[in-house]
Amino acid sequence: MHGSDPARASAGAAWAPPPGALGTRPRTLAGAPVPVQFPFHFRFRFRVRAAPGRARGPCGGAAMAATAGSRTQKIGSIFSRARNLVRIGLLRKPLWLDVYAAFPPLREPVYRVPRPRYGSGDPIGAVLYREDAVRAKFYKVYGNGPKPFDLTQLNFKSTCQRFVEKYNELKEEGKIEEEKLFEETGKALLASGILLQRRGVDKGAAPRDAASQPQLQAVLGELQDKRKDGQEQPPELAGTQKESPCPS
Amino acid sequence: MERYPATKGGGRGATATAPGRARPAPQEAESAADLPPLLLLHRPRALRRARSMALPRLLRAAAPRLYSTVPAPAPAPAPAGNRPRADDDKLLTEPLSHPDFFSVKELFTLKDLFDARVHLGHKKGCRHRFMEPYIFGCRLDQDIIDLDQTMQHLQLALNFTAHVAYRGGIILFVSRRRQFCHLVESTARACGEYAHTRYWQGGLLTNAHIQFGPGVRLPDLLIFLNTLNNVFEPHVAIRDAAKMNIPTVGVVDTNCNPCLITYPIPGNDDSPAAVELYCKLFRMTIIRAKDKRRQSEAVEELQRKAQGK
Repeated sequence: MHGSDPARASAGAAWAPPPGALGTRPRTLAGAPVPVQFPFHFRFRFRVRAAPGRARGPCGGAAMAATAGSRTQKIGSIFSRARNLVRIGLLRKPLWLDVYAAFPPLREPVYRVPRPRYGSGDPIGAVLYREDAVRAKFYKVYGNGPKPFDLTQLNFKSTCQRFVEKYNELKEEGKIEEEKLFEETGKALLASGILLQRRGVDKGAAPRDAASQPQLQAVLGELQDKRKDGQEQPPELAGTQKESPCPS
Repeated sequence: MERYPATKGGGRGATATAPGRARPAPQEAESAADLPPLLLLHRPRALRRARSMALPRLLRAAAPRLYSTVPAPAPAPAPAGNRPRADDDKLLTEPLSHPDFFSVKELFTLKDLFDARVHLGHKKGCRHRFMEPYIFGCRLDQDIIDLDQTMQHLQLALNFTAHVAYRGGIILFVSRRRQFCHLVESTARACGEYAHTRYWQGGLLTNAHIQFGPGVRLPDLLIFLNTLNNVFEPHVAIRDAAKMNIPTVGVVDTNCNPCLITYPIPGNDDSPAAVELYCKLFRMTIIRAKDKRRQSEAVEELQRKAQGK
């Protein structure tokens, strides 16, 4: 950048800005000069690289087109800056300028200060469907469902989805009342082979508890008796343990 | 000559994936003649505060694009360095008259985008304010990107990429996701273009003439498969490309800032399926554009020979 380039021989020559480079101060339509906007301290820095004396190949003698750059990414877009520099004559036309002019993006890429949004309003609405009510009830009653989601398949249908479809079918038929639709759908699915277990509630858990408690009580009673009796416990316990088959 | 030298040690620096074909030598030598700063404006603090309050905002609101509505002055006479070549002109201007010269729309459909999970964004709390126009809705606190808009943006971006590749521009793929680093590099190698998926040193674009030597040709297009870096901040290359007037194409997720990206593509950048889709699309576009260029040049040659005879 500063002095590391060996070919700065012509730097001492008098330099005059090309006509129109400085430009007049932009004016409003009424003719009054536009006051400089915030921030007031920005500066344009045009680094003009000219190669007058360095003869290389066929284009040695002719005056080369200067290459400049404006590193102000917060002012305008790359297109506006490049187009203006080319129009002034400070920049050789870049490859992409014509393509951008022919196919501009949907939004000009101008810098915007990222400010957070204040207030409770959310401009993006929720995405909800009518079936979501059925899905919510399904998950509340049956939990996650018997079949895990297999996301590797693109057209995978989960138990919940089948339930919702069956529910809609029965609703369209119209023979069943609305309050009973849910249960009827469960029964219909059972008929087609999908077993739905209610989430963590009485029917499944209670009989197991009722069955295990007398077993536990019996074992405890035996232990207490055997302690009272004395040393006859271990062989009997071992016998009882061997006899009872593991229910797994 | 290598534009991006091989990694110097420990994986730092740009990876050089040299294409099979030769690049044209740099056409002009670099001799910096630094000009004094043209405009240096300094206002006293009180005045700055008073002014900064009301006036600039009002003016900005009243006349947001004042500079662009000023009629353009007559263009400066073309510098002698520009060598207009008649045959190149036709080769370059003809594709611009077609709306879809490279048939980029055929490469993907809405269903492809949906199947690749391009519509899945991050959770509501991660949302960036400037991504709100591109979001379709919020499903159970997860943002869903509007795929209709994504289709439009993707078509524009691929079209631009194709035209730049057609004109022999250097394309640099940038991504800072370790998960997709290899995929991006192999995509670039397949296209015959360049990739940079390692730590981005500060002056790679802005200080290129010092770091790589004088006469380096900077990339003509940057393609971001992921606009954030490892610490979820905007990648430095976005700002640097805007500084160096280099157009960018980038996949912006719901937590990214799409402001400075020339052709943003709102879409998922985290799922492997989505990133593979993007890589495949870019690779096909660039290869198609280069093939078309070779075809057109061959046809031109034949025509010239026929005329010559």
